[in-house]
Amino acid sequence: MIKGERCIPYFFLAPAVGILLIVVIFPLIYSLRLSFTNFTFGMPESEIAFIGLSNFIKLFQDSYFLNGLKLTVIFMLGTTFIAFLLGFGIALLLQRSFFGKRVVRTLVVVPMTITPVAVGIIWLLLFMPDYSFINYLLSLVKVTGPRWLLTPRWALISVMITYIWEWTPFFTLMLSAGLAGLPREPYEAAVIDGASRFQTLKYITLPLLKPIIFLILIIRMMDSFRVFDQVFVLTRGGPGRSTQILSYVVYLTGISYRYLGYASAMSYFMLIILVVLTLVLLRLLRRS
Amino acid sequence: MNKTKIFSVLTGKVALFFCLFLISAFALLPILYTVLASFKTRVDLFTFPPALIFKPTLDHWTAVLTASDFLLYYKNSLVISIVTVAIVILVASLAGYSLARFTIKRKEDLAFWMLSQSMMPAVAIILPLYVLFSRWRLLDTFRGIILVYSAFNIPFAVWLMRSFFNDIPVDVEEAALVDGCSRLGVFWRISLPLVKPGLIACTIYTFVMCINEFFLAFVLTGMRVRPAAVGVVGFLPTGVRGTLYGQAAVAALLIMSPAVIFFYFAQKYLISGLTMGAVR
Repeated sequence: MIKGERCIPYFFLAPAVGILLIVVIFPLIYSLRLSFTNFTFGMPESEIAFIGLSNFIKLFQDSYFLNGLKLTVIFMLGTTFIAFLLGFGIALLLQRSFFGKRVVRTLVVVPMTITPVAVGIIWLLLFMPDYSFINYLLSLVKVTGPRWLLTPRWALISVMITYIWEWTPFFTLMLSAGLAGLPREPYEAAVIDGASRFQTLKYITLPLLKPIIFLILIIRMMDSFRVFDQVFVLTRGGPGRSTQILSYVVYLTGISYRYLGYASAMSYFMLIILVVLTLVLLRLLRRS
Repeated sequence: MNKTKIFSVLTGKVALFFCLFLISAFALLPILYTVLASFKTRVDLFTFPPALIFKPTLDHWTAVLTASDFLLYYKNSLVISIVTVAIVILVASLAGYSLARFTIKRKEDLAFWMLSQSMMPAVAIILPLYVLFSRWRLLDTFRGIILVYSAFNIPFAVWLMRSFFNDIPVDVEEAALVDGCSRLGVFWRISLPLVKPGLIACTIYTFVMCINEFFLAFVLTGMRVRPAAVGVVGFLPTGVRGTLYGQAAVAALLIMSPAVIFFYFAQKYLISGLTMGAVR
């Protein structure tokens, strides 16, 4: 390690830290202050009042917010775990080498590289009301497809399907890498001991993969908690409030309705949840 | 091998191939459908069952590329992304170098803080930024959005560059210092060239992140600086007309191209890097 003269290290760090302080830290503090006020955009200076924790208390009585929270949790858990199961299955299939393996691997990864807004448009085309290609495919097996984006429950499912399609490759990629890195000896011993494939999976593969599994689950949960782009493109929160996930509620309350104080409280609540998840993530990272 | 064993091995392989084919199809079909839709006439778009064989048209492509402002928005995206990338790699390599080489009080805490910043959700600061930017007259300006994008990309870039700087040998730098080179000179002339792969990775990652970003741009930009990602949304329903499906398809294809192309080339390094790390 080279010892630097006193100031130089700080000069090197100054631009990065400076930008972060101005664009991230200062607004964060400002937002905290806002969340304790009744500020509405366009309000005259004289009316802005400090109202303490009442914004935060109001959150838990607000049906819009609670609806958003419920939807977001369903979205987060549903998409994460289904994508995990699918991704794990695909990773297991991709374990053996076969002709065209590299091609399949490249193709399978594509969805997660697509711009989220574009993912929304892609599935908007597939869920097109009354002309849905998916309903056509379903009709081939004599099933009448639902009116995807126009029915409250199916709208949420549509949004989740889109997100699962987009992020299953993440699990496939990570679990493939994880599986490739596993030692061979336990498997050889299992074959000798006559274990079935299912037993091998349950007693050897899963325990060995546990750290990486927790890690990727948390990462995806954090990301899915703050989803916005895809939902905005597909349903814009509708029909009604059936897909108004939290990020959208914050946007609606703060930017559309201009209740910035109240919306700041909402966004702080989201931040706290994400901080908790981040701490869990970082502890998991430190352990491995 | 007797006959039953050969049979079971074969059916196993067939089943495997079938599954893999399904999976690849599932991953690609939506994209292919979008490509098809971009060439369908409006009549063909609104048919059920959906027309798989149809007479293609370039109407939507010409509409998006010539009759709409989409190319202007794309230009805005490129300007924003390129300037952000320039700022980020400069600032992040300086900071990463500092964290890699110098002894600083509480360096690990600082590095940890930097890492935590990379997970900052946009939703946490989008509201105060909206208020502050409107006060500082930064709404709907290039300066404003570039500043925000830089701030969001710097943390990860710093971590990336720091790990790259940690991997290059110190000897050459020390020799240069002994010979009288300044710290900045060492950084600029010796260390930076040695981490070129890191700079490239950083450039690609930041560029793609900027082009793909929607939420912040949607709130903080207006008509003047609108990037392509926000422009795509212009083809969605307004109060007056419904979704322009064909044009939306074109816009989606145009905006996803940079990311997909970059990731296609980067994925070779990505996958091998991941598996190598796992083996170690």
